[in-house]
Amino acid sequence: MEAISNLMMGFGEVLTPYNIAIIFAAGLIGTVVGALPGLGPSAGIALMLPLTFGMNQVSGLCLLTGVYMGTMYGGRITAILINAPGDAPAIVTALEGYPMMKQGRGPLALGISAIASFIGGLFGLAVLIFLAPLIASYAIYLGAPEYFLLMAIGLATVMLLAGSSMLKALFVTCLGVLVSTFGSDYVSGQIRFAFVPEMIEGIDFVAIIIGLYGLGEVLYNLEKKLKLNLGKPSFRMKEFIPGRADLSEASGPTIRGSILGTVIGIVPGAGATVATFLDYALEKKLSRTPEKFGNGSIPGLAGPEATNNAAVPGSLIPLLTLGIPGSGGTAIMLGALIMFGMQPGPLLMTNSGDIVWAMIAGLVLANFFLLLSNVLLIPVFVNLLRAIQNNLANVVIALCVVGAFSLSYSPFNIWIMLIFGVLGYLLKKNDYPTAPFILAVVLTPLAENYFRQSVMLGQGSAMIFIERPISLIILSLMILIVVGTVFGRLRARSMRDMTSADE
Amino acid sequence: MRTSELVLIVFTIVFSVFLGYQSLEFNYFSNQGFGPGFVPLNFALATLALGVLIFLKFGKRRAQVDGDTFQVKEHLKAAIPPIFAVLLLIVAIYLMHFGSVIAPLFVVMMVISKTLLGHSLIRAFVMNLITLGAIFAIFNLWLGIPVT
Repeated sequence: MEAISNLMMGFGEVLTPYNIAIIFAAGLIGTVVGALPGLGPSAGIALMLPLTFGMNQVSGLCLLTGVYMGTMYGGRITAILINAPGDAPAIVTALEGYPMMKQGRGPLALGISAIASFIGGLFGLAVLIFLAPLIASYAIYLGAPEYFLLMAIGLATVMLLAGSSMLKALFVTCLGVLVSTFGSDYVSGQIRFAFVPEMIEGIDFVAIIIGLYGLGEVLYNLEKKLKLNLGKPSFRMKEFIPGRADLSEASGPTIRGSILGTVIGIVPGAGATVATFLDYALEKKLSRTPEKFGNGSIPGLAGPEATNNAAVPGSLIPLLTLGIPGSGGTAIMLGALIMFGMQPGPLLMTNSGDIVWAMIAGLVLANFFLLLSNVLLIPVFVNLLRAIQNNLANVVIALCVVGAFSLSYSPFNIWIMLIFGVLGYLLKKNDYPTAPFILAVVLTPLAENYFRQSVMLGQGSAMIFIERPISLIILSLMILIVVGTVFGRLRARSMRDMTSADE
Repeated sequence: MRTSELVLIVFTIVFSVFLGYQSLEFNYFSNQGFGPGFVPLNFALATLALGVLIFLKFGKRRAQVDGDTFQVKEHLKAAIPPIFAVLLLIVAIYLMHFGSVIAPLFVVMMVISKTLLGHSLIRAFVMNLITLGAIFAIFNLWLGIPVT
């Protein structure tokens, strides 16, 4: 019951005309960004960060989480309409949605996917509302060693699960750690690598992510010459509303997808993309008509869409309760929390509970707005996409430059943004994962502090990490995850080798 | 190994060597634990080692693929638009030190529209004017950030 009263308190903060307008706009922006191939959730949140500078904490966080949620709705639009998934989780949506579009059932696919997304998001939010306070209540038992190990576990899992090459993931993680060491060392007070006065406080995190996810994506898209041909789809409103038979066919997969998405969202590193593929495989296995999959199957569309949207609130659970971001998007959210003067970690819900609950209430509201807008405003989205797509590179470049300028009202951070834009382009072009890099940039300053504080607590001995029961449990879990992943990868490789040898 | 990957690896290695050398100025140990030099030095060494490993592992494999002159030419041709955009931005950011952010940015956007996106002059002018107008309205008029 306490969770409900906290949520009501959150609604009390959020329900102002200004915040409602912000959440609605965030949903629309997120949907459009999500629909544009080449710009994902991370880019959406990164580009919106400078807009939050003039806002209070609640409005700023509502804007960012609204955009995050909106991108998950948006990815499906271009996936269904033109077989061009807006983001990675929408790849599965295209498998079933586009065949439905070709059969003249495009509006139905859009309607069903919007409803499944809404239910998935709502389920994930319900779990977030009831589970987050429970996990956070154990925060008082955690000290510096446990905080350090929690951050290490987050970093380890994402690093291990990111991309096709573990070596590349390790490489970008180390690079991220190095980038984060610029500026003041909070334990000794010494200033590291401040070659110019602007770097005394370190390299601005916002300039890094705007460059990496904004400019980097634009440079990559300029090379690939990505262009959408949306045509002129004309749908009637009643075509979006699914009938009773369609809803009944979609209900089971939607519920299963919601549960799976939330659970996988909670696991750091797994993310919405993995969750949608797993759910698609599950639905195909459970289906009585698996031959329909790939030809416009409603369960194959509804399940992964619910999974995709349930994973967002799911991924916020470890972020808000333990300070562990599980993906690039949540790592940027973590940076935003720090930027707003909050202390992410197990005490976040105790020290800044009012803001966190307002943000969760904002997410609930955003989910309702997104359902309505994604059913009623599809023609608006299509026209917006068509208009922005023509000049997308310039829109993003302008947002990146002005956003970076806003950080210190000087061109210094625009240079930083440009450097990281080039880095982002090179990483993406050569298939290096960016999520471990950004996680390392965000987590290292915190992890380094907790690590050195822990060693001081242990009077110079690292035994403190195994002498305390909770840290020992976390350490064991981390070892299990690392060993499990390494063995999994080795096994997969040997299977691949065996298969190719047989051929 | 692709030229772009080689550039990435080489620059990262140089960066890690530079930071590793600079971090020698800071204490590795403190009285009861580790000092401010602990993380940068260790991770500079780790980055260096991983960079060399990647170079050794992928360098040979990709050299065969990219050995084809035609393919190399195609890759270079494809990379011209982003390189051109970066060069334009370097000049524009330099000009921004003289006061205005919007004016050099508008020129960059016009050049990109005309040369890389294939827009006509009028279309480029109108679209970029609207884009910058909206951004100016949000940042300057609404958020009060002095972007001029």
